Amino acid sequence: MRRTMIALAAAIATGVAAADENDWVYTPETHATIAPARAESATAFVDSSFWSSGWSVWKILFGRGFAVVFR
Amino acid sequence: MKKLIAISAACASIAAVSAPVVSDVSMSQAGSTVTIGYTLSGEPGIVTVDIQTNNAARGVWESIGAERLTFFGGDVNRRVEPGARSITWKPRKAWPDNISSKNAKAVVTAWATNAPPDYMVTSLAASNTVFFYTSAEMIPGGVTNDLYKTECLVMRKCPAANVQWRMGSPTTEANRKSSEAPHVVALADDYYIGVYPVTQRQYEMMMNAVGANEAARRPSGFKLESDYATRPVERVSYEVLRGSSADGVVWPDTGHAVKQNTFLDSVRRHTGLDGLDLPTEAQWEFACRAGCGTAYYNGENGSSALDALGRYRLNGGYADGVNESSTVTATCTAENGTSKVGTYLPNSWGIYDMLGNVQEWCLDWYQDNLGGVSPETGPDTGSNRVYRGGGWGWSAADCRCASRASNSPTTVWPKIGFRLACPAEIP
Repeated sequence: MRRTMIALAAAIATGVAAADENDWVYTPETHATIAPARAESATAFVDSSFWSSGWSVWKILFGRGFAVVFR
Repeated sequence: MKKLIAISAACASIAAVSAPVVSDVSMSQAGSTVTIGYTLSGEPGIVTVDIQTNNAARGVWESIGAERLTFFGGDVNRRVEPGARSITWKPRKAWPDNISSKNAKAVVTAWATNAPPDYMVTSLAASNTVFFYTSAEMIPGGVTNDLYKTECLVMRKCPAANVQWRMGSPTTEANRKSSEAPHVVALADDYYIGVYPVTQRQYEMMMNAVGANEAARRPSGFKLESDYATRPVERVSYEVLRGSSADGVVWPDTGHAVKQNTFLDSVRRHTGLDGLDLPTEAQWEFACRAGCGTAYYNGENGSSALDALGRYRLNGGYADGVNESSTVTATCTAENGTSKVGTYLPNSWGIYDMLGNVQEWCLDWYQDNLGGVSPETGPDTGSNRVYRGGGWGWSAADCRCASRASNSPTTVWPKIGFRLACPAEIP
C-alpha cells in the first residue's frame, strides 16, 4: 500500500514537473477511439457523363414510341 | 487482478455488442442515379460512405476525394437504425470530371453513436436534422459557407477522452498572469465544440422560435443590417443564455439543466441535441489549443501572431472611432469592433475565432487557482463566471490560449459572446 502511494506521488510529481518544463504531453495521434465498422461493394461501373441521364430520357421516349406503334 | 480482467472482458463484450456492423454492400447505376445498398446490424450507427476508384496509373484503389463525396441522399451521413438501407448518389453533379466511365466501389462505414465522425452539422431551420461528416471538405458547400454561420450549426469533435494535457501557461510565457498556473488535466470524454462562435442570425432564429421580442432576438451592439447575420452575438449574459439561481439553474449543482425558453432551451428542443451547452473552461482551452502549447494556437509566442488569428484592438477592434468608452452601436461600421466569424485563420482542428473577436462564456465559476479543481465541473461555488479567448477590445497580451477573465453572470457586454459544446455521444 505504502509502495503504491509513493509510486502515485512520484507520478503526480512527474506530471507537474513536466508541465513546469513546458513539456507538452498531449498526443492526439495516440488517442484511442472505437474503430468504425466498414464493408465495401463489388466493383461497379459509374458513369458521370451526360448520357447517363440522357439515356434514361431516351429509354422513356423509345418505350412510349414502341408502346404506341405496337398498340 | 482477476477481477480487473473479468471487468475488462465484460466491458469488451459490451463494446462488441453495442458496435454497429455493416454488410451486404452493393452499388449500381440507373440513369443518372447511383444506388448503394447495405445492411446495418447490431446497434444503430452513424453511416458515412466513400467512393473509391481504381487508379490505373498507380494500380491502387483510392477515394475519389472528399470534395466529390457530396450529392448523397438516403441513409447516409446520419444516425441510422439497423435494417436494409440505401443511399442515392448523383455522380454527374458530384464527380463531373469523371468524363469517361470508371470502375468504382462504395465503402460504407458505420460509426458507433458514442464514437461519431469529426464533424456534426445541425439545421436551425428544420427541426431534428443532424448530419455527420468525416472531414470539413465533405460538408456540402464547404465548412466556411455562410450557411454554417446562419441557418446551420457546425461543430468539430475534440478527441479529449483520457488524453493528458497541460492547462494554463508555462512560467516562461510573456504576459502570463498568476491565475494561469499550469496543471495537468485529463477529460473523461470526447465532445463537439462549435467551429464558430454563435452568430447573431443563429441567435435570432432560436429566440424567434420561443417568441422572444425584437430586443431579445437582436441584443448585439455590432448589428449593421448588412453584416449582422455572420457577426458573433454579444451583449448576452450568462444568465440570459441558461437561467439563474432564481430559476433553479446553477452549474454545477444542477448539472446541464437550463431555464425554459432561453437560447439553450430553444436550441436543444429545435435540434434534439439535449447535451448542447456552454463548454466548460477545460473543454474551451483544450479545443482552443488543439494540441498546441504556445501562447497562440498557431505555434507562436509573439503577440504579432494574433494579427492573423483573430480580431483584437490593434487589427480592427478599435478602428473608426470605437474605443474603451464609446457606444458601440453608435460607432459601429463593417470594419470595426467584432469581425464576421471565420474571417481569420483557424487552429489545427479547423476551429475559428477561439482568440479575439468576442470573449466566450464558459460554464464554470471563476477561481484564481484551479489546482485540485475537477476539470469536468470547475469550482463548486463562486460569484463570477469565466469567459475566455480575449476579444475585439483587448490587447494581444490578453488574447492568449491561457488568458482568463470573469464577471458577474448578469453581465451584458458587447465584448462577450459564446460558442456551444455538446457530448460526442449521439442519442
